[in-house]
Amino acid sequence: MKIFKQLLIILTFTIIGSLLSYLLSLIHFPFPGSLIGMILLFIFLLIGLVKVDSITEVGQFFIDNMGIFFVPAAIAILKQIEIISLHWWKLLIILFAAFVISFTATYWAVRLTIFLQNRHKNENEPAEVPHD
Amino acid sequence: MIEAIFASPLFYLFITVGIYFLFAFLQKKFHTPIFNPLLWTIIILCGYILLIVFIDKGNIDQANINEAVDKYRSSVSILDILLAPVTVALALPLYANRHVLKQNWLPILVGSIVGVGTSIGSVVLLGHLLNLDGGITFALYPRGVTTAIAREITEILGVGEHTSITVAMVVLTGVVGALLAPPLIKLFGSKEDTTIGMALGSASHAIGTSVAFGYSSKAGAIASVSMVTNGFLTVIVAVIVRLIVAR
Repeated sequence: MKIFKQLLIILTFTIIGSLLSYLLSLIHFPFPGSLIGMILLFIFLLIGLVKVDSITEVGQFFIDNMGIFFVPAAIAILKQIEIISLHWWKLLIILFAAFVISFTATYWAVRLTIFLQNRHKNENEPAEVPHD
Repeated sequence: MIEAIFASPLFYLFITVGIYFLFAFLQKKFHTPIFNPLLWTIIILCGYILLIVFIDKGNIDQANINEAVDKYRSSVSILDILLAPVTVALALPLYANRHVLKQNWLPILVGSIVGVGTSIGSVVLLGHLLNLDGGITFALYPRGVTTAIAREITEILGVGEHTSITVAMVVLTGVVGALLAPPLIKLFGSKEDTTIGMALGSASHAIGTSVAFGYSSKAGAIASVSMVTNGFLTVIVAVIVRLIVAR
């Protein structure tokens, strides 16, 4: 019963999301329904209209085992053998290079942000004047 | 005869769950991204489907393969259907780490913008330099984004036919990230939680997040959040690109 209820809550948000996505597509604004559902669920959790306990088991099962749900989409790669055999070395270069570039850039951007934040904090909060 | 049993919908579901479970078990036991269950399930199932085609038809040509793939996908369509609710469930890690999100909103915002910008920028640049087909380049935009959101992005960009390439690249990016990130972090010096959490979650999504949890629970929490914010921001970029291209 509990699992059904939890699944039902998550499915409700999914369906509302795809409904809103359809309405948005009517005004030529392509936004994925599952993302809308995710944002709505997050907001409902924040304002307490959905209690986290009422979706934990099913939600956590989905999160922990996400990979298996992508198997069918990935297997379709067998239909793209021709493209892969033509471009495999380009894909391989992009695989490694794009990761190293984005990882390095993010790492240093965040490190710099934290450094500046700390310096700003220290300027605004001068060291305490010792009481004597 | 062989096809009736070993290529039946029930058997397809059985080996899919079976292989996934086996590698999830190995990954947990040996704590290594090399045994990523999605990666190995894809590789082994591809081999299996080719074998079935060979036994059944005698020759492996693209038409026969396509037919077998369609049969496989309709056999396990339950997994496809559940993809949307699985994506919705991403609200959970975001909610669980809401305090981390609130306290570190500035580094998370900066990190996500830089991460998404350099990720898409490097794909566009490299795709151009390597003279890669435009459709495939589009399909690589979300290569650092968590799979659930990545496949939505290929749909937004109108290259849904290449989704399988996207999914494969996303998984491989996660594995490459898990292998390369620790030496890079060592090289760069700082093991500050927010920094490595953001870099890992942003550049190598869920697989990177599990690596981040190996450093500290705060790094893992930051990575879980950045994985979602990164995906979200990439969706926004994709929507903008689509709106511009459509005009």
